[in-house]
Amino acid sequence: MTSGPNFPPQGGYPANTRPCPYCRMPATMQFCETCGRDTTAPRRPCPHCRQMVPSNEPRCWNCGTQFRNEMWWKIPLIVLIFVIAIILSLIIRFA
Amino acid sequence: MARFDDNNVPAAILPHLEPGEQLYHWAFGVKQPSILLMLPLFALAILPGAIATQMLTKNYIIGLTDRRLIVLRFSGKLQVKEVSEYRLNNMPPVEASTGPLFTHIKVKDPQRPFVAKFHRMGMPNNRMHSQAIEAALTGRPGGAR
Repeated sequence: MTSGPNFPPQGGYPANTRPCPYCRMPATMQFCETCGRDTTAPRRPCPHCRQMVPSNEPRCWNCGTQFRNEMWWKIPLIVLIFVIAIILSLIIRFA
Repeated sequence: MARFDDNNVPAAILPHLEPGEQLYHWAFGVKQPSILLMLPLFALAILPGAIATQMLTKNYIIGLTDRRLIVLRFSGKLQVKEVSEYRLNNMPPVEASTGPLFTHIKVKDPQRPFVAKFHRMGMPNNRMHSQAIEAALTGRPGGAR
């Protein structure tokens, strides 16, 4: 089944006002009037200073920490596990 | 002892709520890699294939509030890696279904699509919460509120 939601925002808070997740200033539009960032965009916490950073930015705007893709260690580790498994199976087969 | 429950999951979502925002429902779900990737990995070697599948699986906590659907991608013990949100007053189309084991929720946003499946045993009350979120997002009656 496909459709959109059918209930409006509640809670006594204007639907289009929110604290900017980056600079914490009130934002009335999608883009913060103070820092200019998209307040609804995906974001991630900086592992160093814990400030929120837009996911499409490669560095933390607060402390400058460079973000790395999680796959940088996962892919080599998966390849290594398969290589070890294949080598072990060959050793067992020809031993 | 359950890994996630109705205490630690809302506690993980609370720091991401806006002032006055009410959290209604929360659920734990996963997104596994494509079956086209999993099948060759399992065919190559079963145990390494299972390990690789587990490593490539993404874990999510979603929270439904009075204003937003909040999506937290996390690793380990609720260490948040990424936060996404969808405003309920500007919600893209949602496709959801419930089977015997899983509730599937798919947000068809062209900029930031989201898809995950929520196992009924994912955490206590996961079935109830995921069905309630499904009902709220699709407008379909049913599901606890």
